[in-house]
Amino acid sequence: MMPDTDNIHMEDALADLEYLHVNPRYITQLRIDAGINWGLLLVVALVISYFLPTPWLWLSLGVAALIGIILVIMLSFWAPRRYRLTGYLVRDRDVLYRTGALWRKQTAVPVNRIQHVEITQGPIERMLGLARLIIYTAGGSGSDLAVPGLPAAEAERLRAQVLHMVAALSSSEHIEDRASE
Amino acid sequence: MSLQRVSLVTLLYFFIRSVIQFLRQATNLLPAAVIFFAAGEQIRQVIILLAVVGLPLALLLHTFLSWWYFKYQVSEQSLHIRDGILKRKQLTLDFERIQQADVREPWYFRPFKLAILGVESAGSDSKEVELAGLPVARAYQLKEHMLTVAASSNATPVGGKAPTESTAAPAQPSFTMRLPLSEIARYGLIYNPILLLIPILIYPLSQADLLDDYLMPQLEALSDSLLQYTEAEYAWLGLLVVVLVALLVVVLLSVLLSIVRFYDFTLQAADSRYHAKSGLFSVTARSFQYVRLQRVVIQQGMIARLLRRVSVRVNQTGQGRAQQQDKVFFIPVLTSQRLHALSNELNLETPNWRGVHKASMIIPCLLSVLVISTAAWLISGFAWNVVLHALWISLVISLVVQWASWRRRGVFLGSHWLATRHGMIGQQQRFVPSTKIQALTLRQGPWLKLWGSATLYVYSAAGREAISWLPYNELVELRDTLLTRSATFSGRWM
Repeated sequence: MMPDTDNIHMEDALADLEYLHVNPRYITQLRIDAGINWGLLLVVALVISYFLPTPWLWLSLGVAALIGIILVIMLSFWAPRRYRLTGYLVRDRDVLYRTGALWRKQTAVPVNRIQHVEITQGPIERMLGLARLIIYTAGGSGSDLAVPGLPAAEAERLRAQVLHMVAALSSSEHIEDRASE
Repeated sequence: MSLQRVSLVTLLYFFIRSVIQFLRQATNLLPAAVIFFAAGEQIRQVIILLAVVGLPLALLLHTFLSWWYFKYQVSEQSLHIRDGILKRKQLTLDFERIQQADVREPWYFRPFKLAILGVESAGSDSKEVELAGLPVARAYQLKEHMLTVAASSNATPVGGKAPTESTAAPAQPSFTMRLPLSEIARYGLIYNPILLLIPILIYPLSQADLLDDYLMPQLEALSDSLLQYTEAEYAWLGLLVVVLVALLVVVLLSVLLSIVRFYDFTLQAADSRYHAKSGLFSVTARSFQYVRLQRVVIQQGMIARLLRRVSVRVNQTGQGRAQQQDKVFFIPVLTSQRLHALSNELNLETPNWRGVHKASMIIPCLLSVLVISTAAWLISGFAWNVVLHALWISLVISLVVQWASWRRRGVFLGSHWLATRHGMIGQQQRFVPSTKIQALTLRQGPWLKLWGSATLYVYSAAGREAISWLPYNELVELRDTLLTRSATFSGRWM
């Protein structure tokens, strides 16, 4: 077993299931993303503070300090926690994914509803050797299931596995249909 | 069969199409109108000559060439179309992949017994093709044939009904519903597009000071002249009569529009395919196959509730989006009796609604109190006594409104359908086949977690349903049931 496939547990029915962890490098990806977003805000706040007259300076410095604190929290607590709670599972008839550090989210897609599967890699993901597997359904935007933080090879393997399942399911259904005619 | 042209009368259709195309292009050229005003007299004369003689000639030429180059060919399995004057287009539509086929009989074709066949292919990049100028009987026959091929090409439909495949003439309808004129007139009362326009019309009027500069002096003059020989109350009575008459005219217009659109509305079912046809001047026909049904929406607004009528929409794949609304299969007005018959026909279950937690009222209530009080605070110029009054008044109103909508909220999972209900004075019920779910998402933030609940988003191919404020365990169970039903459903889902 790979080191990144420890078992994690949830408190509900799908829960007794053992979700697979994504790659630990995903923590780094989350830290870089959060660092860029909140770091930019911090820089903007500091630049504004530099130009502001004294009475407003304290307010703007306060905002900058707040952004700084949030940045530290994101880097130290949020990123590892989100990684720990992010997991996926491919079963015979469905694909499951869960994520969220504070706002929890679980998504399930039946295999027989999968329209197509896509792998994307942003610049940071490419740098870390990670990829994102996106499963599309006919349910429109919002109904896609995206698993981030997969090693590129693992994403390829997973895509092949899912596509194979889709094909196997539709051909077996075809046989059932023929038999019933 | 070789490529053929459509009937000569179809020139009418191509002419209208040319005009519409021209108008669309012309709006882009509107800035060029500056030349007309800026240029000298000679150029102006040339432009006028062009507009009066050249433009109609060009339109006529375009019409004729469009007709000349439009050729089509129908085989057993596909429709082939060639179109375009300079940029030629060739299009082959396989009947197998047809999502929808509708027949329209516009008013200008009706004296010639011609129709337009509109075909839409399935898939995300849906192509739409219009074949105009077919004889009415041929159009309906072709539509039938296309849909039969489309239906038989795929696996055996499952989903409550097993249709018998027949390549012969269309089967006898197993279900027929005809709406009488009185019912269609009622739809004009329920859905009042002109009434909706009033606020939009009032806005520019109020901006233009028309009310102050023009209308008020007129009204004052009117009331003055009345006052000369009557009492003041009489003038107000006159004004009231004017308003009432205006309202009556608006309502009558809506009723007329409704009759023009839905005259002789006929719904028929045969072989689990549904056809609806209506219209006074232009006849529109729509159809859907039961296997492709993704959602049924039963809607009742405020006036509809007073009249005890409902409207029903049947959505297919992708028809949850706003731009697809005019293609939705729509039944404008149903009595409870007709709704019952239609529900039976569509195999809808009678829901036994499960209510939601009362705490669902808290946040919307607080938000509306906050918004109203802040508005009062700003408008009154930060007067605290006004804010105090605004606080308790808005609290009472919000509580009543939220309580009314809480009472209407409900969820139901039957043996085949997932249903949700919401509304305040009116209501909306949505039925989604529980075997056709695309994806399920369970979300839980801190607030819902505090109350031991979550939100379950159910994605069907026609859109998203959100279910909140049930106990967490129940939502998880609902999610698992829907997931199992959809994942193990081996029939056709679209």
